[in-house]
Amino acid sequence: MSETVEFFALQLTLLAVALVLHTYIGLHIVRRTLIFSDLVLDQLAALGALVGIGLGVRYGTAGSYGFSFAAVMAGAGLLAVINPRNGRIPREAVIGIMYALALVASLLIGDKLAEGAAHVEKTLVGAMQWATWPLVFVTAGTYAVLLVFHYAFRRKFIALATNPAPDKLWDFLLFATAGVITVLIVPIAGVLLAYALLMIPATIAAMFTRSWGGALAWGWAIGLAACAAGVAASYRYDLPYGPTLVLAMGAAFAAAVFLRVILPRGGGQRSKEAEPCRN
Amino acid sequence: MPELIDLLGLPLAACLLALSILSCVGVHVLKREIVFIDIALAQIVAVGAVWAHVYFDAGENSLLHHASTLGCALGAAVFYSVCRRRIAQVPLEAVIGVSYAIAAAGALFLLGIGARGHVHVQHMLSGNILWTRWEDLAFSAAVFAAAGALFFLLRPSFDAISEGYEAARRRGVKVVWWDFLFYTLVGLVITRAVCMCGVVLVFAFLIIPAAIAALFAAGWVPRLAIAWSVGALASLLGLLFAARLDFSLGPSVALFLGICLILAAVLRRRRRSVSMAVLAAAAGAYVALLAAYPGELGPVRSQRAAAETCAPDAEAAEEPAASFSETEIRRRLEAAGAPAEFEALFGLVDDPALRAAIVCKALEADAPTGAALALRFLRSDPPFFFGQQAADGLRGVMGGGLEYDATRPAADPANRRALAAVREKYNLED
Repeated sequence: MSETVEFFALQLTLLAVALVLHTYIGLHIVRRTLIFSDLVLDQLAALGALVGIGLGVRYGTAGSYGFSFAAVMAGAGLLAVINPRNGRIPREAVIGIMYALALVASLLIGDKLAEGAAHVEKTLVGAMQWATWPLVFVTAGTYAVLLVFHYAFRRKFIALATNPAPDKLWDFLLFATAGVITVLIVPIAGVLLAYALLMIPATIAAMFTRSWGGALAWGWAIGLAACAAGVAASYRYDLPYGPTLVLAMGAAFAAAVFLRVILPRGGGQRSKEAEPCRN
Repeated sequence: MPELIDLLGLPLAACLLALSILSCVGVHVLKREIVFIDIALAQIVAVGAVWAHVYFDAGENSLLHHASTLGCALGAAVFYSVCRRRIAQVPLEAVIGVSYAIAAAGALFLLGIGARGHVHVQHMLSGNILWTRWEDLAFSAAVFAAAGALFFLLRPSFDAISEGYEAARRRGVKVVWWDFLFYTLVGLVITRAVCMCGVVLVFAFLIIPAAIAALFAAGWVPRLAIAWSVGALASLLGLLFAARLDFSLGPSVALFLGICLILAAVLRRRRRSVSMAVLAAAAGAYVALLAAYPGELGPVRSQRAAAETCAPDAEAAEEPAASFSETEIRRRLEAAGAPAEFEALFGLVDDPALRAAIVCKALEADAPTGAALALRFLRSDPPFFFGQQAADGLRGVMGGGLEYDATRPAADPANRRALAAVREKYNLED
C-alpha cells in the first residue's frame, strides 16, 4: 500500500468511526439547545490535565488521562443535576457559566504553573495527522461499545429530547458518553475539530429532517464527504489540518443554510412540532 | 489606600463601565437564549482583524483594521437576523455555536498554523485590564453611551422581540430589520468590551449578573439594579483578590462573579437564617484569605510598571532596564502578541540569547515586525549561534532562499545583499 493511500485510509477510517457517534450526540445537543455542553467537557478535560501537571503527572500519560476522565465525569454529573427550575434562566446559560468557570479555573491555574500557557496550548492543539492504526483500533473499539449501548437504549435517550423534565440518570449517561469521546478524541483532534465534528454535521442534518435515523445518516454522509474534501485539500496544498477540515465542514454548513433560506419551509409554516425542543 | 486606588482605579473603572452596558445586553441575551453570542462575535471580529493584519499589514488602530472588524460584525448581524427568521428547525444558538467554530478555524487558517493562533486566542481570552488607559476608557465610554442610548430609545421593539419572536412578528414588527440592528449594536458593544477586558470577563459580565438578577426579579428595573450592584461588588472583590494573591485580573473578577451566582442560587433556596450563615461564612473566608497574604500589592505594582514600560508610547521603551529578570522577560514574551510589545521587549534586553528568542517569537507572530527586529539584531553582529537562529527564523517566514551566512559579519557584501532582500520584501526602511 503506498504511503498516500495509507494516509488517506487511516484518516478517513478514523473520521468515519468518530462521525457516527459525534453526529448522534450532536443531534441531541442541537435539538435540546445544550450547545455549550461540549465546550464544558472539553475545558474540564483540559482542566483535569492541568491539575495533573500541577501535581506532577506528565501530560499525555495514563495518569493524565485519569485526571481528565475524572474531571469530565464530575462535569457530566453537574450538567445532569443542575437544571434551573426558574423559567427565566435557560439551561444553556447555566452550562455557559459552567464553561466560563472551568476556563477561568484553567487560566488561574495556568498563572501559577511554570510554562502554564504552553500547557494550556498543548491541550488545545491536536495531532490527528499523526494518528496510527493501533490508536484507530482503540478509538473504534470504544466507540463501537458506546454505539451498541446507545442503540440498545435509544428510546430512553430519545425520550430525553422531548421530555421537559428529563430523567437525570439518562441525562448523565448522555453527557458521560460525550465526556468519554471528548477525552478520547481531543488529544488526537484538538478541541476545535472535536467540537466541529460534533456540531456541524448534526446541525446541517437537523435543519432538513426530524427523524433521528435519517438525520444520523445524512449528517454522517455530509460530514464524511466534507472531511474527505478537507483531508485531500490539506494534503494536496499543504494547508493546516484541523482548520482546513473545520472550514470544509463550514462550507457544507453555509451551503445548507443557503438552501434552507431559499427553500420554502418544510411542512409549510412553522408548526408546533417544527419548534425545536428546549429544556 | 491612595496607592490601591492608583493601581486598581482604572481597572475597576473599566469593569464598571463594561458591566453597565453588558448586564443590560445580558438580559436580552438570556431572554433570547443566545448565550454563545459573546464568544462567537469576538471570534468573528478577530477573523476581520487577522485578515486585515495578514493581508494588508494593518496595525491595531488603523482605519483598515476598524473597517474590516466592523465589516465582519455587520456580516454576522445579517447572518444571524436572517437565520433567526428563516431557519426554524434548529435553535439560533446552534447556528451561533457553529459560526463560532467556523470563525475560529478561519482565524487559525489565516494565521497559517494552529500553534501560533493559540497564542492570539489565549491573549484574547484573558485580556489585560491592567493595561487600561484613560484614552481607552473614554473611547469605550463614548461607544457604550451611544449604544446604550439606542438600546433605551429602541427598547419597545427590542423588548418585544426578546419576549416572544413569533408574537412580535405577528403583530407586524419588522423582525429581521430590528434583529439586524440589535446584533449590530451587540457586536459593537462586545467588540469594544473585549478589547478592554478579554472574552472571558465580557462573557461573565454578560451572563452572570443577568442570571443572578433573573433569580430574584422579573421586571427590567429591578433586574438591572440587582445586576449592577452584584457586578460592582464582584469586580471589587475580584480585583482585590487578584492584587493580593497575584492572579490575572480578568479571570479573577469572572471567578468572583461565578461565586456570587453560586451564593445567590444557594440563598434563593434556603431559609433566611441559613442564608445569613452562608453569607457570613463566605465573607469571613474572603477576609481570612486576604489577611493570610499580608504581602502588599507587590505583584500588581510590578506588572503595572512592566505594562507601562511596554506600552507603545512609553518613552523609556528603548532603554535597557536591568530590573527585569530573564524569567520575567520570557514570561512576558510568552504573553506578547502585538508588534509594539515585541519591539518594547527587544529594547529592554541586550542578552543575545533573549534577543534571538524575541526575534523568533516576533517573526512567528508578525513577519514584518519580526523582520525589522531581525535586521537590527543581525546588524549588531551577535554570536554565531544566535545569529543563525534569527536567520533561520527569517528563512522560515520568507519561505527559504535567504543567503545569510551567520559566521560572517553583517557588513560582508553577500550578507548585505541578503539583508537588502529582506528589507525589500517587507518594505522596511534602511
